[in-house]
Amino acid sequence: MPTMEMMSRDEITALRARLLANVGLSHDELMCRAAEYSLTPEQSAVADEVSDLDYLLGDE
Amino acid sequence: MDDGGIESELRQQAEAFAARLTTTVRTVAGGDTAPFVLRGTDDVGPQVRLTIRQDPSLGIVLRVQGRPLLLLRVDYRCVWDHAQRFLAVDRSGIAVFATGVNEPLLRYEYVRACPSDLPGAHIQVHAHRDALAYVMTMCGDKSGRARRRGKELARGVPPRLSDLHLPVGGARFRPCLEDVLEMLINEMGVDAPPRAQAALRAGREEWRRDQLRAAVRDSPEVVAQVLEDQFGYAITRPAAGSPPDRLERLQAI
Repeated sequence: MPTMEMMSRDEITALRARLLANVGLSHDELMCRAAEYSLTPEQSAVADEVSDLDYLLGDE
Repeated sequence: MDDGGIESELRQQAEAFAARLTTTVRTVAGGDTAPFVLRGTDDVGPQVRLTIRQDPSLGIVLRVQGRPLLLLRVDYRCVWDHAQRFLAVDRSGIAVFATGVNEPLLRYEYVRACPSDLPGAHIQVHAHRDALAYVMTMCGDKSGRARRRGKELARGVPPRLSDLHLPVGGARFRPCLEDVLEMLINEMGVDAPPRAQAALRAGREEWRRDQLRAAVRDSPEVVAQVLEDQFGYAITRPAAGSPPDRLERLQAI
């Protein structure tokens, strides 16, 4: 059975920053390119994860 | 129930829901498919928020005659419902991709707090049809969506079929993951073991029972009348009368 990872605001913020650093794009650039489907599959997966973290942070 | 109890209950419901999703995709994609990933926070804002997403992050591989042909990406964002009794899906997406192609073929999406001129539950088809694109350029300016399309056209952005949000039954009667997978098996020939159809039917039954529980709360008096008139139930209304219909749910596109 899947188990949930409960995260604090600081943990979410830090993970989001790491993901963006790894992909080498700003948040806006990543999301803009995701909307245009111009990311690689790996970048697109990162965009999905960042978008999830945005949701957890209440940013979308 | 105290806040800790509420959080624990929501977590249990989310884990059970994710387990069902995992079972459903394993039925089709194979028993070695990774379980869905759940994340949550109770550290931001007034209520717990949760995300549930497929693993691997690139998408679940679906095969046709043994060859990887499609990728499935599935995600849910969840909160408590208005009564804090049931897990509510705030937003969900089921996207089908051809392997190696960035833009999806189809997206089944649901947005609980959707703008009133967009269907909360909708399908977007990523394809091209000249006649439809032409019609979309000629739709005038009487609606907000049409005006927005006109502005995009003026900026040189042609309309796309994927801009259309095709409604699919609203919050209560929208398609489930099992519907999409069975469609892919039937229409695209996705590989699935013989037991998959029965498992998908069972999963769909569970989904629709959940949706029925939610739909009942949108119009309790209608439910009471049907149970009395058609099934002979003797129902005692609350002293304060039947709860009002949730018109925002019953009327939303």
